[in-house]
Amino acid sequence: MPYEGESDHELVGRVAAGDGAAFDTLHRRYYARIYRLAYLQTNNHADAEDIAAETFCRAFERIGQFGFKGCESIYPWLHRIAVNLSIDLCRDRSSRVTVSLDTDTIEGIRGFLDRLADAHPTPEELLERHEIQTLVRASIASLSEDQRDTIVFRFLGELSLKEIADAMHRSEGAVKALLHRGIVSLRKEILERLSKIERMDLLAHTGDATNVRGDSVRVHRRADQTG
Amino acid sequence: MSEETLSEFIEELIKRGEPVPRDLIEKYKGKDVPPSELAGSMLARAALKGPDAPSSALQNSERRVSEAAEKAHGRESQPAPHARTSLGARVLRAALRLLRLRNK
Repeated sequence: MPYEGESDHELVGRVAAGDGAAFDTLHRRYYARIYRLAYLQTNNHADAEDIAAETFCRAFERIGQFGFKGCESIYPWLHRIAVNLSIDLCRDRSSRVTVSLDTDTIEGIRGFLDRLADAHPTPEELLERHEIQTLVRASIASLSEDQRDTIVFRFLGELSLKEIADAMHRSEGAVKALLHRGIVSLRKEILERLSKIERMDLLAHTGDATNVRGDSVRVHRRADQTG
Repeated sequence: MSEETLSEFIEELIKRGEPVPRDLIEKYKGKDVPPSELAGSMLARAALKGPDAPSSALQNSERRVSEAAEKAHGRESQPAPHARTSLGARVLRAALRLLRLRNK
């Protein structure tokens, strides 16, 4: 891949000067991250693929108008395009996420979040289950915009604190505070969703599940508890 | 201050990769960040590192960008029927055509 070691700044300059191979490098550099972001927003592979592709089409069309404004990465700009496209796509759709979890798993997540109990299960082991990935991603997606963007910029975009500060027009101290609040809120959101799952579980067994509307969770009891 | 320490932990978490090394957890467990915040960071990190995009998705994206580039520059793409031209080459071709048009 040509220009692999070049900065985003250099690559954007090359594209603006008519060097298409430079855009190819930007596309390869950021495609996986934009795809994961789109998946976070839509929880759907086909939609994520569509949004990621459209993001780069729009970026190519508008790259002549793009300015870095202090941030050395093009990722925040791509991020905004992808998020806006996701919002447009999901506007007319239900974004409700259905998650089924058994009680042992719920306790496993709680134990991890509360005590970091010897790191067993590890986050990787927990997230081997698709339902838990969905639960955590949905929790991240439901955070306030500032907190969500900070977490996504840091963990998914892998931007430095300075780059995030530049992209969000904040100080580095403010970004650290947002990151901290975002992690606290994320934990709270996950725990609330787990409680909701348990309430749904209880209602399902008392025959009142149909009276619960707007819930984003569904529960499967363990076989040994249903008898 | 726990905001500072949490930021340091996250920095190391991102650098060290996955799975989260045991010594990293031990290093920060005794500091001024609650274990619940370390755990929340680890879950966020693990959830946001996937899913991987299928290679076909990347190729489709390249194709769509190339088509958009061709369309933007007002000419239909005329690729060689047998050779698969790279996205960069196709975008470059379209950009050069635009420059030629501008210079006329």
